[in-house]
Amino acid sequence: MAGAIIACAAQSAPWSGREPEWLADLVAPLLADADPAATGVYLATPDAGAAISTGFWARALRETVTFVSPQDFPLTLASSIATGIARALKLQGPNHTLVGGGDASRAAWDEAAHDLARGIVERAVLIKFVAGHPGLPSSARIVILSAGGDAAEAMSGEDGDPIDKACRVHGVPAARTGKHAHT
Amino acid sequence: MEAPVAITGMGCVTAFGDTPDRLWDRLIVGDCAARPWDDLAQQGFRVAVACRIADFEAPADRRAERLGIAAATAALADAAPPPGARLGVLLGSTMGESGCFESAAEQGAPVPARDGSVAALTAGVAAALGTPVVARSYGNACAAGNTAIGAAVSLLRRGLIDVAVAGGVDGFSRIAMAGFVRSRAMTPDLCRPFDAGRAGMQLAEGAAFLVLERTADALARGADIVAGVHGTGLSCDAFHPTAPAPGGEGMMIAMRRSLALAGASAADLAFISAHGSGTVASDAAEALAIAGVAGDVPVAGWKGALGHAMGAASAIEAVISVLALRRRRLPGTTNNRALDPFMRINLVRQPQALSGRRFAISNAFGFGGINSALLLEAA
Repeated sequence: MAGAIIACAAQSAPWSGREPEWLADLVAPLLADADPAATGVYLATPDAGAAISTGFWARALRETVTFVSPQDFPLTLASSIATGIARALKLQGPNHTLVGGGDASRAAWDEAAHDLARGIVERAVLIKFVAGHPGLPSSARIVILSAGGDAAEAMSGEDGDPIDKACRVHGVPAARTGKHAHT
Repeated sequence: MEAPVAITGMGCVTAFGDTPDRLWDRLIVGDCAARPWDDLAQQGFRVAVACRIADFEAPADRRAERLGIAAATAALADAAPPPGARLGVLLGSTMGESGCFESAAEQGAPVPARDGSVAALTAGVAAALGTPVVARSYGNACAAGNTAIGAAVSLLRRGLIDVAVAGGVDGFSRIAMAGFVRSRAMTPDLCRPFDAGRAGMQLAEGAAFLVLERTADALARGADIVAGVHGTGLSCDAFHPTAPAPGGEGMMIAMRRSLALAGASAADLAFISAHGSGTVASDAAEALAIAGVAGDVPVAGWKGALGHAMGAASAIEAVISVLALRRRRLPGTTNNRALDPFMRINLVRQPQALSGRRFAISNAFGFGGINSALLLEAA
């Protein structure tokens, strides 16, 4: 599976329900020379949308379904993080949300590498996103893949989490606090 | 170009019944599954009409999982793959197990005690089917079913699995009902795809799965190949959290990518199964996209009959499309009274015989501008 790792980054931030905004800020400089029309987003997450789903229904019970604000409804979908990043950066390639733990990271990596190999995209934004909830921050690790090279192959098809491994190999620490990037 | 992957089994649970034949029999005569529900009215929903499955019993916090298990096991039984085949389970869902999140909120818990994610649905379905070597969970909004099927094609072609059970699931979601009603996306009466007077979507529930195998393997074991599938073309509008790009450009990219998978053109299409959600904006954009890519190819949309089962919808419509290719007959667009005069598409209102063309596209689009187009080929 072709692909080259060209950048890694990590960040955590207090839960806000507006995670796509800071994720887009983190990704934007890593895609400075990328064609947005040929860039896809491949997000792995165990829990995106879960806390917002529960919160939305709790509000609906309090305020009644007749009057509950629909503002947060789109954010109940796990896909809202990946599509929010795409919208902020105008990324028009395939937009995937793989749900689960390490298996989801491996699947997202496989989808990205396969699309790069077929020429569907020239850049792939891989994101491992763990959603927070009130009192618990959200965190993300990001890997940018490009077509060509075989560095990505070493990360795919193995046990463990390839996004975590790529970040470790490239010196990006766990995203406990603040923002870290390596390009 | 690569040969299509073989579809050797199908299973579904919809408001029209729990087999593909029952689904077809009610769709082809123009039935509509929409009806008012007392429990929704009593709960205060301004719109209480939906396409739910009345005779499917399951705990509220496991409804989607049980729907998925019923459809997936039926599909696998239909295909009867050889023992020892390496199985992949690929499942798409918009809301996950919505009942889990609703129960947690009702109990005052910040997060559900039981995992309500799409991955939990996949785990439940996978466990019911055996021991898959690959299990993937796609949360690609209302394009999730198409995405899962397309991913299965890729895994089979690369030799990573021998048999795939791929499709989509969504149980009835009060969260979605509230969200869509309060967003004024829901029709107050009936869903009317591409109608001049269309007023919105209608929420539904269901599950559908296809069983896929490499065509050479299916032929070698004498399996009944009901149709072929080339994969799914994908794109993203990157335009708005809920509305499509009004010109339908991203939808066109997805459809063109799907045709390219087989080196096919619009002239090869027998029909297009439209997303046809019945909302003003989505149908308008899709009509532009279809006119731009496929000209006067016959188009039908089935959400007027079945409602919008979110992540399951594209898998259900894939089942219908396969049956249409096999039976050479296209079900009509239930509840469409008059085509929007601004649309330049060949909308099929009543069932009609198909031309001799071999290919079909099944569109599915989701929140955030996720676009998908599944390319099918007659066996």
